[in-house]
Amino acid sequence: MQRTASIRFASRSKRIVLGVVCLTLATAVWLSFMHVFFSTGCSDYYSEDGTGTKARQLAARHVALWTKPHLGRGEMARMRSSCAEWDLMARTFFVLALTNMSLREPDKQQLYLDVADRIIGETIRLEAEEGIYHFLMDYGQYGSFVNKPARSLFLDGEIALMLGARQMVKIREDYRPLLSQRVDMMIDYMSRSSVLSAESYPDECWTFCNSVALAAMTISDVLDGRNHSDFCSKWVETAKGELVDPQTGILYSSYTLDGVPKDGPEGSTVWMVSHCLQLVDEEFAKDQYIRAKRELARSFLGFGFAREWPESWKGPRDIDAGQVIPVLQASPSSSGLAFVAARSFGDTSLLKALLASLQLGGFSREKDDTLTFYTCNQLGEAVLLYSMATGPIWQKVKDSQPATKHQSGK
Amino acid sequence: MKEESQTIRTKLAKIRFFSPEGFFVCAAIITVIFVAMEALGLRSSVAVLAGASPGAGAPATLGMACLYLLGYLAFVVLAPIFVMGSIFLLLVNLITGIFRRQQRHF
Repeated sequence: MQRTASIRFASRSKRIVLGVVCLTLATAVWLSFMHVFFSTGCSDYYSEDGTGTKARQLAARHVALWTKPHLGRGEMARMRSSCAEWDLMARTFFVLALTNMSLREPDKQQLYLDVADRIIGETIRLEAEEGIYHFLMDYGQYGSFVNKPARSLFLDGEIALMLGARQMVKIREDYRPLLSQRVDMMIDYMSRSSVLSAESYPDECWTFCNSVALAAMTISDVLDGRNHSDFCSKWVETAKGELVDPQTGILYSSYTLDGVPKDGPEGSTVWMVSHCLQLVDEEFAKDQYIRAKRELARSFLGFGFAREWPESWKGPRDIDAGQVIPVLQASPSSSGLAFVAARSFGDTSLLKALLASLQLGGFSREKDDTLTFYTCNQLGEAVLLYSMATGPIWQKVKDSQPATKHQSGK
Repeated sequence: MKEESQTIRTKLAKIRFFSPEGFFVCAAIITVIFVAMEALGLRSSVAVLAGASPGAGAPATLGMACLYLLGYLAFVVLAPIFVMGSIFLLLVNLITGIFRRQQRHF
């Protein structure tokens, strides 16, 4: 009797041990290969010529948000309640996506340009009617801008970039003066600072906004034949000397008008900066991208993401960059903009790793030929769409520039 | 019919967790629960995490989002592990069975 019980116990223990071993082995195998199942279908999102199916579906959803305002109003209001800046950024990234898609899909050019014009028109109207604070976070009103009258390069740069990108597809005579006046204004304000930067918030310059402004100036030069390349080169030289974090070699994300650093190197800044600087100084842009990738791009079980801050940065942290996922320090906003940078620099491995994460945690839903990601807000989707569409406008600008333009120091 | 369902229930009750059948049943239960969540439209509730949902901030919506997330993670992480574990255990049992039969034969 006792012997039977002990045999039964031994056999039960053996079964449990075997089961645990098999489950452990299965866990190891599945966790090692899980990312492969989520990184498939890259061509649905990213197509070299034309637009991927998913990109078209995502664009269709956003076109509907703008052409049927009752759909978009609620989403925009909810996003604005989190951060008013995201409203303008969502517009900018969507217009950039639309203009690139206009060149990728000539048959849909008119539709995309109509929507882009609607967004540009409404943005300029809101700026005129509500003032610059409409698109700024509340703390913008607590201090006073050093340069008078108060202007925010955040608005000027992004509106100029929208006007420029739109006209790279098709010139609009009424946009010409709007763009050149804004470029003149940006140059005027940026020239007043020792670090050739203008304020986005009171005594707060952002590398993001300044590099967007430089990209807009470069596009404007192509359109109107003027030449601001000396100013852009000087900005890059000044930035290399005074605005670089010595530990990482990455540009600070914000600083005072005198160039005193405020926020350190930041993912949601440097990815976009490297993308914009491609039009100004390709070598420096690539250097920033490589450094950003080394310091911020991470992978867990094959799933890519980007940190908001390098491990070495111990200083103050920006508040508008959104939530950061604890432990991994994964930042959705930094990861979203990493898509744009990875696509711009043709970094397929990072793009695939990021895409695996998007397909795992984006919670997409396809409905009536539209695509939405439930865990992205309107800005997040606009950034993703831009990463899928980006290419043609930047290429057209580069092709229109003199051959020596993109090499550092020349 | 009633007898048949009782037999199935008895059979299921007899399945041990640490067995190929046990692991497979776990995977099946997770899948059924996840499919039910999808059918009920719980996927859209995760929008609260991005602040992009009309019900953002409401405890009920947040609760549904958490529930769906748990179900989703179980479906994409645990269910495949259970299926794979079931296959591995089945193979081990097959190999040890063959080995035991060979030992008896010699």
